[in-house]
Amino acid sequence: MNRFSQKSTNQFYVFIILILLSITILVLDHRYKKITQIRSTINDLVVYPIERLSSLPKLILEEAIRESSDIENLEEKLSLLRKENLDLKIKLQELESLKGENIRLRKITKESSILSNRQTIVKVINTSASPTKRVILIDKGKNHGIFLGQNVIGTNGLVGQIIETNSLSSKVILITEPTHDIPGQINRTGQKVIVSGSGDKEKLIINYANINSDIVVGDVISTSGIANRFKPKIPIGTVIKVGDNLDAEFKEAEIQPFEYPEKMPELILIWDYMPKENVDE
Amino acid sequence: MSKFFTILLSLIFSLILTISTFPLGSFSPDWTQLFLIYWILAIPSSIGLLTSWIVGLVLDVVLGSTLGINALMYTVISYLVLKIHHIARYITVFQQSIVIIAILIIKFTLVLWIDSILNINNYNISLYWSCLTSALCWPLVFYFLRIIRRKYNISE
Repeated sequence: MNRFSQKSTNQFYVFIILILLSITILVLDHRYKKITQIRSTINDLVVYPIERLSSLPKLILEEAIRESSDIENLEEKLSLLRKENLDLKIKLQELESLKGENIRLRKITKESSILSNRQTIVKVINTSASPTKRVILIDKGKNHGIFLGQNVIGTNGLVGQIIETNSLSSKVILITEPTHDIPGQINRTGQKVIVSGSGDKEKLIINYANINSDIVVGDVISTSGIANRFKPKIPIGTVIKVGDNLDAEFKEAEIQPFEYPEKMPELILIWDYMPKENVDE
Repeated sequence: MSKFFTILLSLIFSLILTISTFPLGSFSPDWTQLFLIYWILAIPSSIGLLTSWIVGLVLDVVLGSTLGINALMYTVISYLVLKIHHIARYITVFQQSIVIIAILIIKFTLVLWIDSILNINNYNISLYWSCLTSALCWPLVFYFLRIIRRKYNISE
């Protein structure tokens, strides 16, 4: 009996110590964000291998599906891609000349150049890397020079930004996440709006635009570059629905994004844009 | 030594299950907690508070939550389970499921409290669905781990 109570007391002390330790870590991580080192160490040593392991069955399945798709299908795809490639090459020639002209004009108007030179293509490891938020995991990390806040795009438009970097992997928060907002602007009028994610995976919303603002269905929204989080003029989506809110004090709009990253195997990171340092999330 | 490795592998397997059920959102069962509760009930002398704390810390990184919140919760729940393991070991699996619902309701209430005190807003009330799905998965976890425990002859 004596031995039992001794063990029980020891257990109680261990319990108290661990609780205090947890609370210390919790407060340090939440208030001061000083111990990201611990997080990335645990991630590199333990979590990263497990994440790779857990995405293995899906990879094998996809590989098997790709292998089994018949040759006829592939030939069809190939001819389609050839045609697309040709089209794109022709377009590229036009663009090259336009680029030169654009730079010349920008020099005249003394605006900074916003052309993107360096890009990295990354693979998506896990399309849902968090149970509560729309976060995806990509296969490049600090070792490849990836930094917090780096913009992530697809071939058609904005996808999200980097929120966590580890040695070999990073997490990207998607623009469709309901708690995530983007400073945007309407291309046609230049009016600034705030674009938020919504509960719907394939929709973005503008909640509080001025009641008199000029938004119509079909308008293209792109990033404005205000707050220095996103590079200016990355396309976000097109407006598909416009209405007033319940009190008729603000205008609301629904936007269909250009990208559905949950279905994309590869994403693009852009480099020539550095978000302002020390911006809190 | 093989005992240690088997338990470690089973816990890693539970983390893989957790990662692969992320798309279910709040409905995904709390696999790691279930595995841990099983091992505590089976061999309380080897699997205790320290193991739970480490597993919780790793889970924090996996889930991307504020570091320490799951470590804290796993320690609390493991202490609770250690306190009641004399009773919980000898009731049927379905009665254990009901106990697990109760335990997880306590856990998620505490999680939501901490979440709102620190103003993190990582979780919402739909977290409670996880209690139900976890309890439904408990018999599965129980029999699966019992087969493994008997095969590799893991005991205290």
